[in-house]
Amino acid sequence: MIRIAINALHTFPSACARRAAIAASEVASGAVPAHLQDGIPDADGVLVDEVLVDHRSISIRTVQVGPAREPDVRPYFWLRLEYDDVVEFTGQQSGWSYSYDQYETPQLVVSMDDQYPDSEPVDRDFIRTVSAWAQSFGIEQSLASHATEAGAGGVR
Amino acid sequence: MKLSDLTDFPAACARLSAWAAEQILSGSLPRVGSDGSALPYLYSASVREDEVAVTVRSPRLVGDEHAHCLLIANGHRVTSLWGLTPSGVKYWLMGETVYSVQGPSVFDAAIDCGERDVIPLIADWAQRHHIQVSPLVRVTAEAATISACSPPPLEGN
Repeated sequence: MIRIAINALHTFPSACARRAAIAASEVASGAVPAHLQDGIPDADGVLVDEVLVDHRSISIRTVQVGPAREPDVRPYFWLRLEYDDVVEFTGQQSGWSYSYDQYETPQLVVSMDDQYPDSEPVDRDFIRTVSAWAQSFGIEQSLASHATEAGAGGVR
Repeated sequence: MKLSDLTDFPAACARLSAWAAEQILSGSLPRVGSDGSALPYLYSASVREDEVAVTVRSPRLVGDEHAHCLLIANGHRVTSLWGLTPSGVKYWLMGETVYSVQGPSVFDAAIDCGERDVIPLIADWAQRHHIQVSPLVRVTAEAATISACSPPPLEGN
């Protein structure tokens, strides 16, 4: 079983994931991530939406907000850390859903987000970038992810 | 009820949970987890927008569960409070009223009178802070002063 250090998320192709990684460092150093107290900003930005700390794990949720973004289109990222290792994460980004669970399915699973509205453009590059990211950290990808990646050229 | 009202609440877990919530609201996250001592410790904390939820646990067991407190605050206002003291007294907040009941262990002979006094102390605390108590708290507090912790009657005379 591979270990995913929090630093790995600093290069994940999602601003929400990168903000979550920064927030995790803030929490580890005893600070509450600042955005929590600021509410939803008027301009585009990534908000630390929720932090939960217990005796063995930290979970953080971030969401990308902006005046033009409806709640169901907002990219988000949720992660759970145990003793500085990322053991679980899930998120949505530009028409894609992705998840990883070290205990259940230690593979990166990427699929098209069925709830994504047809009016929004799908980022075709995302799946290739996320695939390259997983490869660089030795994270296996599910067969469904490979199939989705292969078919991404023809996506919507 | 404000978080600051709990600074002299007669249950250590509740005082610690209010302190932890204040710290979180001010931007600093207290240490989570036990330090191995017999003191209550912050067991979990969550923050979402203005809502802070804190669980404090004591290493001391009451029957088969640990003494604890769960507090939820919206900003500095307490919206939910629930706890169990090491002496088996349960307390909770509903609306603007504090409720409390004695668990069976209160009547255990091993528990001293100091611990039996939790409910009267809750009644005193509520009075100081102008917070309502349930009729049961008031009646129990009155009964406790009459019987539970009175010294044994002198024989003779």
